[in-house]
Amino acid sequence: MDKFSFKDVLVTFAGLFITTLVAWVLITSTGNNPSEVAKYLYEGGFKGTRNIANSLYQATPLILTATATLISFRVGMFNIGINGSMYVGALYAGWAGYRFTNLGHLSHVTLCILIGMTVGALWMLLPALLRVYAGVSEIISTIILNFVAVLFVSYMANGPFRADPIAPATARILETAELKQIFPNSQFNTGFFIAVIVAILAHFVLNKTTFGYELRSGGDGLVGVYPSRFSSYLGIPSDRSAIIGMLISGALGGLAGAIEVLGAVRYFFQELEFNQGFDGILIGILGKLEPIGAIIASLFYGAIKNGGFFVDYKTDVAREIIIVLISILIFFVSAQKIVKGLEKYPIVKKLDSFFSRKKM
Amino acid sequence: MEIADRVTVMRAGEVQGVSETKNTSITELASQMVGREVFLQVKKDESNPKDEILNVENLWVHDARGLLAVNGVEMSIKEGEIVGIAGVEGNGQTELVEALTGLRKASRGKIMYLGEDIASSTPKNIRRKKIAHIPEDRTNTGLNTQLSIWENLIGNSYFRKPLSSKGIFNLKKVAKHANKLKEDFDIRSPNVSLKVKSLSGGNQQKVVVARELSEDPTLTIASQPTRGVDIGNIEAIHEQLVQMRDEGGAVLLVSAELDEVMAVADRVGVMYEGQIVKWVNPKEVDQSQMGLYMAGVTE
Amino acid sequence: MEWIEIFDISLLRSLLRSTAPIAIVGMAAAICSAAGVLNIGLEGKMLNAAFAGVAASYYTESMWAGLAAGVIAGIVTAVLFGLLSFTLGADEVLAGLAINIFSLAGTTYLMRTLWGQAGFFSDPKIVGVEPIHFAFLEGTFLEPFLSGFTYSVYLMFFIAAGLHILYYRTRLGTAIRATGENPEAAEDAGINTVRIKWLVTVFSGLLAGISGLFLSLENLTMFTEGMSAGKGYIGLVASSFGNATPLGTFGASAFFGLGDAIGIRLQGVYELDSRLILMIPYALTVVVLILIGIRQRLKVRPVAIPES
Repeated sequence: MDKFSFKDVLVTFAGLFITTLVAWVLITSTGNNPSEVAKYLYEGGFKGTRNIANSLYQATPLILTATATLISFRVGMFNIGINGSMYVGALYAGWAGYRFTNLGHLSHVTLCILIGMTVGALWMLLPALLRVYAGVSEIISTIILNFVAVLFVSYMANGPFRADPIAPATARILETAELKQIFPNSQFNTGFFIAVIVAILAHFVLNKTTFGYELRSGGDGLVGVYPSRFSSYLGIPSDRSAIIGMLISGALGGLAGAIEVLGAVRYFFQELEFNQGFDGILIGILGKLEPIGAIIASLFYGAIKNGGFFVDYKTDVAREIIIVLISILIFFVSAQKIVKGLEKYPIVKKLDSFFSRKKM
Repeated sequence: MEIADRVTVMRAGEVQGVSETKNTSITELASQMVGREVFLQVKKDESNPKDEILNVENLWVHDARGLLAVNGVEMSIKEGEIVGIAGVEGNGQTELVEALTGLRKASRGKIMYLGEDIASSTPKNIRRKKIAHIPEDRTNTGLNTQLSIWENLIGNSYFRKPLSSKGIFNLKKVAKHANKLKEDFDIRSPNVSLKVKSLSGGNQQKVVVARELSEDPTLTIASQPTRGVDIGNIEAIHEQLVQMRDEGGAVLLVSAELDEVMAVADRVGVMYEGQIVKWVNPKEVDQSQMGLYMAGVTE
Repeated sequence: MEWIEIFDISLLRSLLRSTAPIAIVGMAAAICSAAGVLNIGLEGKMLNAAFAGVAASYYTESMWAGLAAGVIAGIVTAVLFGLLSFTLGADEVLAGLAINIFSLAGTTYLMRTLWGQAGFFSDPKIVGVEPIHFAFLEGTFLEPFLSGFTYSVYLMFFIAAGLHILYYRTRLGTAIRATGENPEAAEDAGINTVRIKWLVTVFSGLLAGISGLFLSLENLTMFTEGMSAGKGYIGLVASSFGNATPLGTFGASAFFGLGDAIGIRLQGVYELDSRLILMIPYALTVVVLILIGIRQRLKVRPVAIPES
């Protein structure tokens, strides 16, 4: 595939360069020291077992939400609602965590995960049906549902699922539902491996199976192009593909939420905030809509995010700067004309064709 | 030829020749464009039609806006012949083809194919019956330009051995198959992994043709098959359609290019305002006559 | 208290206040849609304007500085969107989304880094917008209906009327609608579609800025993280429901405003959880989306086949 062409890599690096410049401006203009920030950013992400473990922990939900979003995009649906799936998946996984007693470790964890995934998938059902049968823009419906998810989940933690008379939170999950944490002072848990395996599975299914081929035949671009008539013309029911794709996406989003609760937080409370759904969109795009790319980008982003926390702790610079920078990178990478403009330079053209010689 | 006094022919970036239009002919210019003898009259033997395989009975089809596009079309196609539909675009040809290929439900009438009414069949069923469709919209229907060449080539064969087994692709066999099609149909591209959107219009059409004709169809429905295609490739596609006919298949050629229909088809129906107003033998009619028929003047 | 008793003057006033931000940003969405620009980035413009307004007002202790800063922020964000989409060839939806994410993170970052506050920022130094009381209406029957609102509430009527006139009575309006319906034909007719698109984008930035300022300087005098809470998207839906016309959008926005206002009142009557009440605008949005879809479907009705 000509997805990871040399041009794209070049643009990404150019983008990183510009982003670093912007970061420098942002940091100095608020009266902080950029080299200090850079040092803490690096340390927080990469130095020491604890930091590395935490970086991997940060990457865990990102891998899943990025994969979830890219699956939607590749069936032609511009799904921005994975964050919502994550919230409801987390809530119900947490609920299943304390609700079912007398289960063995493996079965309890599996049950919680399955419930989380199912709820996450169902959250995507309405936008999918609306798009397929009523032509309603899934961009808007999924975004709106994000807001609904946050409110709903907060209401539940405050009301029906509330366990603690003082704090609005659910009960803590039972030990049998936990995903074990490996390192003593880090929230890194076995969910990381689940995430990686799921992403690799997604890569296989999307690219190497007929099922994946059928899913992609209706879309596969960056911009949701559902419905491409190519799919129906071949005899593949593109409606079904779009709905299934959205459900799978939702399931992965729910899984991300479930892992967060089962592996790290261990109960669901009102102030619990998930933004990994939105980060997942950016990462999915950076990873060129391929699950393997999503894994790599998530690892990178997880480290940066952890570094950001460290920076936040050590300086006055807030951690949101990371998202600001990543979105600037997205601006850059998405500006097609810049990519096309690079073609003007003959050396770029030569290197580009060198890297895309006979692949098949 | 009508307006210019002098014509310069370029091919592959080089000037092939400069001629006064009054001293040259279309045939000569075309051969300069392609670099070899080009037959504007398609070389073909007499057709030898056998049994009827398709019979359209009183077909009525609505278009996307709810208006009637096909108003009672009747048509019969036999094995071993190329039936052409001529006419100015917008007279129902698109909807007729869509109804025949399962992309649009017929509102009334029957489409009898080998004894079975396929008027409300799905595209999947139609393909199962070995009916191939070269659609008039190649970028949105005939191809998914975001996918690679090989992914587009296997659209009608991906679910069978040896390309896939139990739902998993055998990418080596897929590559082999794709490269063979690339050779057979002369698709110009460095490799079959590139996205189709990087190909020229003519090459894109060759991908569609390669896919549709390679699975041995009994009936081939080709709609505007050479639109936006350069002369050398137009020739090749016409040859392939004639070959389909000679091997015992049937071809329905729908085209707004009068030259094409008259040269390739064995008999031609003129479509006007949703009906076939006249059937002609292309050897016995001239252009001006056809022009009148296409404008609805049948007598 | 009977539920019907909530329909009173107080509800009407609440309705007008709830409608204002949605209507103004909705009309920003409408004018962009009319020109064929899918402006998802309105959330970001509102947020940036809300923040800039609070920041400027805080540092200068002047309301006017706050208003100016907000409007400028909205326009600058719009220019960024235009650059990305029109000049640099990015996909409009992607650019809009990225801008929203960027703005949410950016305003949060600035609030936390500049003032060390998380969640929200409120300070007596921020000067908000005062409601306008018309002296000549005092004591009259009309006073509760027309007096005592902040300027945006009055402004939205003028904007709706003004845009309506622009659309249907001016050459510019026609040019905008032409660009939206058939850009190629518009170009052939001599309309510079790129300039039109820039024009509507910048103007929508202005309107979105006013809408964002309403949230942070009129309704309340503070900045909250993610203050716009989806109103930019609700505005888009209102515009869609109103077929991208100023009056239609205004009507649709009023519908959302009504839902909002009723919800707030119901909370007092029935002691419902506040979060359920807050869900009402979003639930309404989904309902409206479904209605739009159904309406699309009903448009096509096939003609009858003649019996012969």
